[in-house]
Amino acid sequence: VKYLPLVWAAWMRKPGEAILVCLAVTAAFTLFGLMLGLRATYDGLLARARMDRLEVDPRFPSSNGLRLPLAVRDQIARIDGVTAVGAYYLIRGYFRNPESTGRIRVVDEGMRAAGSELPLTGSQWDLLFATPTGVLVSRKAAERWGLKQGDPLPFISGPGLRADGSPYWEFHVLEVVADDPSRPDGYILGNFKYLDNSRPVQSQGDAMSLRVAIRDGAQANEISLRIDQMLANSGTPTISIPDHANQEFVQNSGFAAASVTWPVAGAGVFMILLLTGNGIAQSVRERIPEFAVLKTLGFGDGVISWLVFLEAAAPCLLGGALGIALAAIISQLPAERLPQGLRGVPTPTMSPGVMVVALCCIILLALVSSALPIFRLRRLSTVDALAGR
Amino acid sequence: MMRDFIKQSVVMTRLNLASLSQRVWPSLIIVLSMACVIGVLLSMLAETTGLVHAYASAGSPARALVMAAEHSTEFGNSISRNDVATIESAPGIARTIDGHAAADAEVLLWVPPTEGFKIRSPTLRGVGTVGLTLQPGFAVVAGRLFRSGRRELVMGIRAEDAFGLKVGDTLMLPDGEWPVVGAFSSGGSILEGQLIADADTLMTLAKLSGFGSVVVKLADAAAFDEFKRWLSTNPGLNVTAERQSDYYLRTAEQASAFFTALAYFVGVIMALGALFGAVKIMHTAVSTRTREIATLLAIGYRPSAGAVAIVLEMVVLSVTGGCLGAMLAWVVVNGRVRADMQDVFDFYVSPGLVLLGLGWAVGLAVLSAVPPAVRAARLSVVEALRQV
Repeated sequence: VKYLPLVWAAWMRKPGEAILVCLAVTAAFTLFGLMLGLRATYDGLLARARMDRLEVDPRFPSSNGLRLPLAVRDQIARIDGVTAVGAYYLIRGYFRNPESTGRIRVVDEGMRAAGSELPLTGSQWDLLFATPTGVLVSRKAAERWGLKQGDPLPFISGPGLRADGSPYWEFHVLEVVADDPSRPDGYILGNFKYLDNSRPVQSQGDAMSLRVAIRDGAQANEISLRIDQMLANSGTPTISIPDHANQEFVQNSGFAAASVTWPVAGAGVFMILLLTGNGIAQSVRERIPEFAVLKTLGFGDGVISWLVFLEAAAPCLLGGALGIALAAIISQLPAERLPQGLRGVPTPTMSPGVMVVALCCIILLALVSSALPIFRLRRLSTVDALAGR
Repeated sequence: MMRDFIKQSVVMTRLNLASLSQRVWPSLIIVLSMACVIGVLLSMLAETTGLVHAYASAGSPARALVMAAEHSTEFGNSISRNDVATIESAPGIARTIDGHAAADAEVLLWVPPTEGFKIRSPTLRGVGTVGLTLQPGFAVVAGRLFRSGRRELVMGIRAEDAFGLKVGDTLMLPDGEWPVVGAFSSGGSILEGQLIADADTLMTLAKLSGFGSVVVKLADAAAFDEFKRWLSTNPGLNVTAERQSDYYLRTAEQASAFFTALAYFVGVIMALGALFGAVKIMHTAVSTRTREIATLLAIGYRPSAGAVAIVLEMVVLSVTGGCLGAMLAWVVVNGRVRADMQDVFDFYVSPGLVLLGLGWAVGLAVLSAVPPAVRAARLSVVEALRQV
């Protein structure tokens, strides 16, 4: 602590340049924090995606589009190892204005068990299935759409879904419920009966997909194949995939931000390493006589190394902290305030783990930046330096 | 007067560049920082440019795509055979040698793999007899073409790498397994990652009620407006027409909009970091050369010429970094195969992309050189020379 004034004096020797280095580090760590946060989000999604949940989709479109008759649900339920089967349909559309797009997942009774990972209580499921036009809205979705319990939710879907030709759905909010970490943007659950009763007769009894709960996640591959083989020669062949495998694939397929998080974060830190390294090397170079005086006064190599390290660490710590704080603020911005193209990016998770990794990186950056100047000072000949040679 | 100014600027720029050997590390850091920014930006954009390029290779402004009005995409199956016949009678369509309309009704289907969980599914394109003649550069390179009325298909040459398919394999399709009887190329277009089969056979076996689109060869590119007007005013049709080139561009841009925005977002933040760093380095450079600059000013050189020289020096360093970044992007990602959910294409560091990178490098150079340049221009000669 007693040497801090020396570090401060060195830093404030050229305050303008110190501020510029700080700003450069801030920008780099904003990017680093966001990329790390994004990586944490993807890792979290993968960790939560379960092997004991399968998604069963129609393999080919029928003349009505991609649909699965509900009768398939009962066939799948009879397979050994299957504990529950639920059906759902996604009503896509908008609320209030065409910019405010979203989707309502209408589910049947089977989802109570097949979707048991949803943070809903038994009474909330009861309420949903007892009220055809009711919806359960998660906190994030309620916040985004400005909804509260009891509010009407007029929803406008695409054409052709309702028998009466109207695109309007008169939902109302039953309750605002807990968020599901697997659905970072929130969710809205509705009652399948409302959809089914409103559709043309020829479409009734069709789901978009089925969700299957199985007893043992280790059997996920086998049961998925069994479902597909069982229905291969039926009128509606299926393709089944465990949630975990699906999530893994989505993260690794084209245009997935997950694939660029580490390379981008690495490039940003490498760039800033060059700048901070140059800054501290230049500062030491300009003050060789000053360090020679310190050595003459009895300052050991260890103390001088600490002084140089702290001088390098100060802008890294300050800029890094500002950058991570900025990243945390950006990650909290509601989707509507982001540029149009970025609204699909999952919210970065600025968890304590991310902060710790960022802090380690900041310290490593300071260490690497100051290594060469410290090495040079340790080999400094005090006599030559004082003589200006 | 202007001539003098230019002459002085050139002399001072040459002096600045000659002194770079005394400032190797700071100069190298500016170059490497710019290389990082431009390298990352171009590597990310190469992915979206690759997709746009692959789609653009398949499209032509002299061909039009007619789609169901409610879908506005090739996917769907609501264009009936009667609709196709009506569309073929529209004005502006080129004629084949035997006098028929150069139009082909097509249908698209995603084909999930027979086994396993990979949900990456190649697109199967059902085409009619005229369809393949409307695809320029289409050539069977292995095996043979599918036969009409038979359950068989051909695959694009890129489907092999992306989906692990080869000639002789079978694919599970509606109503059983279909063999892959041949492989085709189509000039590097997006079709090379797709499968092609006979549309009528596919529709019958998949029990599809209609086509997804009708591809039309126009008599000439200018005939499109009349063709579109005729379709939109025909009360018996509920379709929309778009030039094939416009449709493919729109499709590719929609698919890549998110990643393009992310690339620019990352690029801007990295550029800010590099910008602050470069300003700092150039400030230091001006400080260490105060005497040299003051001497030049004392012998009659204009302050503005000194400022211009600093900007030009920075542009040279920054563009060198930009070139290095573009080269890195080219070496690391150009030509890498990317298989999206359904599309297969190459990363493409296009000449346009390189120019964009160099544009960014010049912009960053100017922005980062202006503060030190202003400082150099405002230098008090007397004060500076006192430091001698």
